[in-house]
Amino acid sequence: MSEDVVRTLNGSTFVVCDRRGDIETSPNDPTGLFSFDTRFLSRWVLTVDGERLTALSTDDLQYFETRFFLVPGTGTVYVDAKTTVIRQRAVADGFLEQLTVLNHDVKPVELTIRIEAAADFADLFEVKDALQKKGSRSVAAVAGQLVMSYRRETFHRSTTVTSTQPAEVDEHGLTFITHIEPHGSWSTELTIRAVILGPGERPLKPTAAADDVRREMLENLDRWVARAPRLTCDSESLVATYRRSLIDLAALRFSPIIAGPDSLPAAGLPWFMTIFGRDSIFTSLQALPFAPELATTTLRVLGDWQGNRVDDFRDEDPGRILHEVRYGELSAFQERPHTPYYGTADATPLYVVLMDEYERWTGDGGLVRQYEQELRAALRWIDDYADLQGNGYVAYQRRNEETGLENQCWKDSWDGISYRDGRLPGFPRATCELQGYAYDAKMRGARLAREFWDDPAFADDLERAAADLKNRFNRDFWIEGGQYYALALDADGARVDALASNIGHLLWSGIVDADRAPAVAGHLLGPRLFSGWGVRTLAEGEARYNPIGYHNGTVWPFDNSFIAWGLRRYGFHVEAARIAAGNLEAADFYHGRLPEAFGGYERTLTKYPVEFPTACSPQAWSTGAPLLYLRTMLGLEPHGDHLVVEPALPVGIGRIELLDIPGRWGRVDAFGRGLVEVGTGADGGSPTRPATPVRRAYAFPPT
Amino acid sequence: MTAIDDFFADLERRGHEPMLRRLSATVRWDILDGDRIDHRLVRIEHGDVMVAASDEPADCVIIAERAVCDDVVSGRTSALAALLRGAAAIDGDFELMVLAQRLLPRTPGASGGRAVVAAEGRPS
Repeated sequence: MSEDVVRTLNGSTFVVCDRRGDIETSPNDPTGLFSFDTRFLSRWVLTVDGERLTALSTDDLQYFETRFFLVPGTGTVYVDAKTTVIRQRAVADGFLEQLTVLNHDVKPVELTIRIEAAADFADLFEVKDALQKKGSRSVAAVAGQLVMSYRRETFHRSTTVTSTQPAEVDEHGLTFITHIEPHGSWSTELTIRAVILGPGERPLKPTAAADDVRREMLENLDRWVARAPRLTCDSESLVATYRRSLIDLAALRFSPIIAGPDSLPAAGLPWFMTIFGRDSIFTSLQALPFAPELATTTLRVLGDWQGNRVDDFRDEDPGRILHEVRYGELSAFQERPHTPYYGTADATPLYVVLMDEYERWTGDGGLVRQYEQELRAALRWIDDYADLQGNGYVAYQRRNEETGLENQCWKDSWDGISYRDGRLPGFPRATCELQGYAYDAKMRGARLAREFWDDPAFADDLERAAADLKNRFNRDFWIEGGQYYALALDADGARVDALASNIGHLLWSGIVDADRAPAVAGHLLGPRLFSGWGVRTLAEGEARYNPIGYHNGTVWPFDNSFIAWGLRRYGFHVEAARIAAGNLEAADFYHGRLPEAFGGYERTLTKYPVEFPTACSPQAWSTGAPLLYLRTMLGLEPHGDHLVVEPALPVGIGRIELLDIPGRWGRVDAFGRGLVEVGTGADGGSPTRPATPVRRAYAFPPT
Repeated sequence: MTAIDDFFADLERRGHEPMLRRLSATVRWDILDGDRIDHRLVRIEHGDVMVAASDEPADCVIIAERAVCDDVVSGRTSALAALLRGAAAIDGDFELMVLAQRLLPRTPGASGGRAVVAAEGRPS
């Protein structure tokens, strides 16, 4: 997506346009007004007296509101316009556009203002794959209103355009003949509604007045930022990154139809503004110390949608947590399986992990009791449905061969899992991090069973099963020669022997035998995996290693943030701080907004982190990464009703205060000072235990 | 008798759904059959399930043609897909529609998907 594209959004409704505010869709240029995975405007072009305009400035007022300052004419270096046009656009269930024309002349002017509008109602999948529509479109100009509709059998979507000033409406747009006095102005408000219609032309979800939505959004964003912990720090860069993360996370909130006004983190803007099991869970985990309410909604919505039956098309099983929901035409007609699609092997154990971590922070035992059946079903899924190799490990293999996902772990590209020599293993595949998540789910499930469900026998069973899994895992996945864990077991149960970042997640899950942890940490910070900015997805020297290979050598901030958490779990405070420092320094190059991934080039080679070109920014779990780094560096850990603070911060950060951290303790403050020397290169040898003495302290509510 | 009738008959016999133990609510199906509407009121009390032919108000009402209801209980379509293509409508609490799917048989006879939808060849 080009730099000149402007994005304005509100939940799953968003506008992608040029710097003038115009939308002109071409097959390679996916601009438009999108809502619930459908393009409701593919053309929206403003002219004054038949002339296109030029942008003087484009301001993102809020993520859901943009203002365009324009003058008539294009292509001139020198602007001497007697007219200014201001478009102010707020996205709601469509958008609201305040169009103002100013006459700077001493004479009155007559101007013809025209908006061209068209809607192709493309499904997002069609935009990506350039597919043809199967239904029919119609346009009507009725009672000063432009109504564009699309029908295929009972499927009905419509876009309506209305104006507060009277307009001549035809099938291609609206025309205003205006007379503006000297130094006077003319203004109209255009309302564009994107409507999903059910039987009897009833909207699928009630629409609120756009004005109310805008007001609510503004208050909501202010409240959101005000409610989050306050960060003060010697490092201005970290403060800026923190603020950017909070605002981006607000923008990424998405209210699925069933959650009422509550929201959960969608995966990425703009193409992934939907529920993703994995992404929503990881982001909720990252944001727990800052915005625990995201986890509440994630747990509720994913729990409600938990798989119930065996359905090969959706790769659904009882107890399975969903992968992705889509709302467009192809999903509606089951040409894509996303209603919902369940093909993910990690979301189900991670669901249990999130519930436990959520309770440890918030003390909300009510939710643990309420969702007991879902949690038990998720734990059953691990044993009853995920053991596809028959060896007691979680594995995946799609049953929907046509439109299902081949790789159901986070490295989901076709070549994301490989042997050292570059061969790709067959299916089913049991990647290593899935075993870690399963182990963690069983351990945490045991705590929930004991403390909340009054079921100590089940808790004992789970702990026994977890201990057994850990034993077997450390025997079957460990590669003695390389001193690391295999990336996966292949269809024959043999080790897929590439060295990859997945071993860092194993630390986070606690499945690594303590005596092997130093070797794992050594690899993570060693020259093959650590670039200086962060840990590469695949180690240098592996056949498929490529510093700009999507899952084969790039550095993913999300991945790194969980690796750092894992390193702290095993006591490698310095190593965790080094990863945090590398990633946060990289964030500085992106004005605080970490991309989904950046190149795995050696830091000393490029001097700056080379962005991997992806369509979505911000990406939820990249946005969450700085939040998790703050938690990790400050060593924030719930301990009963207290929050333990055990800082191990890189020197560059200086003094840091994180105030009003919410949790079961009410709100408490955490303080720290950067004392850890991190350097910028990779470790040559094995890691050492923290050289900096770690101060252990309990934080208490401010008096 | 079509699949949806079998479903309610079976549901009445089952009488309990453990996955709905946290729920007490009423869900009504309005099954459109030409000019006729068949009402089925399902009362859920902590997972205990009672079925009645009643048009009493409910917390959530699911409205669809008989053929669509048959497709949903047989697993040929998901409720969400039917809703998105305008073949079904919800009145009331949307979350209950999601949870009510737990009343459906665990292993439907058919797997959903394009092949089945295409083979049906009729507007749903």
